[in-house]
Amino acid sequence: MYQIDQIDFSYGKEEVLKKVTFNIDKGSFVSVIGPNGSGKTTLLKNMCKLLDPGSGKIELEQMPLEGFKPKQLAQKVAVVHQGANSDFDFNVGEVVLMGRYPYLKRFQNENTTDLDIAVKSMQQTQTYHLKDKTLLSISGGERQRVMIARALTQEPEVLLLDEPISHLDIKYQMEILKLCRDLNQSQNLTVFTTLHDINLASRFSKVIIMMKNGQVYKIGTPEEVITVQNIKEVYDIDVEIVSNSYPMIHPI
Amino acid sequence: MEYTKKRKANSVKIIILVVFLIMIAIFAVTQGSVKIPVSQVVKIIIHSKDADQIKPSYIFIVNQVRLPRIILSILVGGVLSIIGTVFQAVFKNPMADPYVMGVSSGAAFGATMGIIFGFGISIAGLGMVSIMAFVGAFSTMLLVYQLSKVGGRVSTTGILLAGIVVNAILSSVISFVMLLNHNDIDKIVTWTMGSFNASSWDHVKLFLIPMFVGVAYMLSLSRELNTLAISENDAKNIGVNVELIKKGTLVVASMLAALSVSVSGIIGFVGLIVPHLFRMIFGSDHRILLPVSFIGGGLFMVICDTMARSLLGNMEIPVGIITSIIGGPFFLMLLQRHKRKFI
Repeated sequence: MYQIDQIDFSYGKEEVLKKVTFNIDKGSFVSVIGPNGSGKTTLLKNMCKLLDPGSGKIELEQMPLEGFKPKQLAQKVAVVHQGANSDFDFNVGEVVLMGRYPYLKRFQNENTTDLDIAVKSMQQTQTYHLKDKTLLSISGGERQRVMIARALTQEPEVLLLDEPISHLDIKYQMEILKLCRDLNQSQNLTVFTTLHDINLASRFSKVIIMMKNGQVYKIGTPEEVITVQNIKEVYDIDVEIVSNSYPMIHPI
Repeated sequence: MEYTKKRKANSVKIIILVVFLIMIAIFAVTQGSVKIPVSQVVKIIIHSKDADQIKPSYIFIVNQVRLPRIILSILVGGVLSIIGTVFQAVFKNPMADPYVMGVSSGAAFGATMGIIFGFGISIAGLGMVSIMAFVGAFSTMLLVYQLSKVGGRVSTTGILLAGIVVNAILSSVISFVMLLNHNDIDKIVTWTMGSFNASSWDHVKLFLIPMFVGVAYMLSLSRELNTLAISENDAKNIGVNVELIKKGTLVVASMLAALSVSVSGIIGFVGLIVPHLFRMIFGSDHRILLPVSFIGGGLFMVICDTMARSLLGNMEIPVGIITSIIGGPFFLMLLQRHKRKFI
């Protein structure tokens, strides 16, 4: 459903993405891995129109991304960015309800359906009990789940996540990835996430995109991508691969 | 969910604040070098039939001197506060105020020129000084805006920095001009401290329509401001047209600030502290925060202006001095008490 075709992107003279090309199928779970500075976040920002590619094109359901109005895009694609720190405090319930914005006209208030959808997303992400707390008073893991709840309230077809588990302890890392997998399996939600942790990417993804220096180095199933040679080429470390139901790396 | 209940509670809070504002305003009319009893003030305002038993001088003072002044001070206070609230959300910066785009120093520069070259022309009830102030404010705003654009987009840091630098340059120029024109120093200083001394119904009329349009525009963006205050990227991905809103609010708010400055001079602190104060009380939701900031700003300004014109008997204190002297410590006190909760 997403076609990324030959996109280039540079910040000034520095080329960050070079001829990046891949497709994402509907209902897939795609992780992007790669060393720091390999262009993961820049790629994600290009995919949600926060940045415009210098050349090449991105299409969503055969329609060029530029053709989408902001609200129209937000009904299809929801994005959870890396923990933004705001000084302004809002109630969790209010924040989640903001996810209905793409469906509301200027002076239209949220109706009961909108509220029900927000409540459902909070229940799915186990954040309903937080609804009357404020964003600044909850923990980092809880905040991440709240932002996912807001994204789900947009009723998207695709969920883009940028490093959703960095800065979280292992319990929340697992919770959030499991939540994404559940949504992927039960609602056929397409998930696209950048990840640092190779083993977690391998465990949860259907497809892994491995990036190196702004290019797609390898794309395929975890078994195809997570190999001793690929890891050596891209990360410059020697590993052993332990295979259970998914390949796991073990640095030597 | 108790969501609709909350919305109703908000309306009640707004109504209570408005009633309180009206009571304070009426009290303010009674105050001044001549004290006028409340009962007579009310009769004059509602054009009661027994109004002919009241001294004509009282009627003149109420209708032609105090009412326009009090109304103008409420409107200007309200406008400055609502602009402060909007800028703080758009810039995601708690230190942003209505003058962040160099409007104040631009206005001061324009006014200084007006005072020194002092042509006796006036347009729509505004003297040359006010007109020059507006021109100065508006052109400075455009300059800062142009300077802060990066690749067609408005950069937040760019605006804050360009605003600071332009402010510093213009302030130096003003000081230099003052140095060369000793005779006008008093006038310039009074003007840069703000005053409602010369308020008339003409000012109120001039102010009213742009104010309604501008404030309505900003109120209509409450929901977008909420998303922006959390994160600009999130706001974009939730479907908010962030660039349009940034440009729109910057232009509308700066024009309103320029207009405020041209009728009352530079009044500091109102646009900074009132939004913070009300954010502490009502939270960050702009659907309630914007209206209460407007009312609260009016309330704060009318209180300060009443003190400005009655504290020293016949001598008037520039209202900007009062807003800073009262506002500053009050703000610090709140900051101490709410240190952890602060915005």
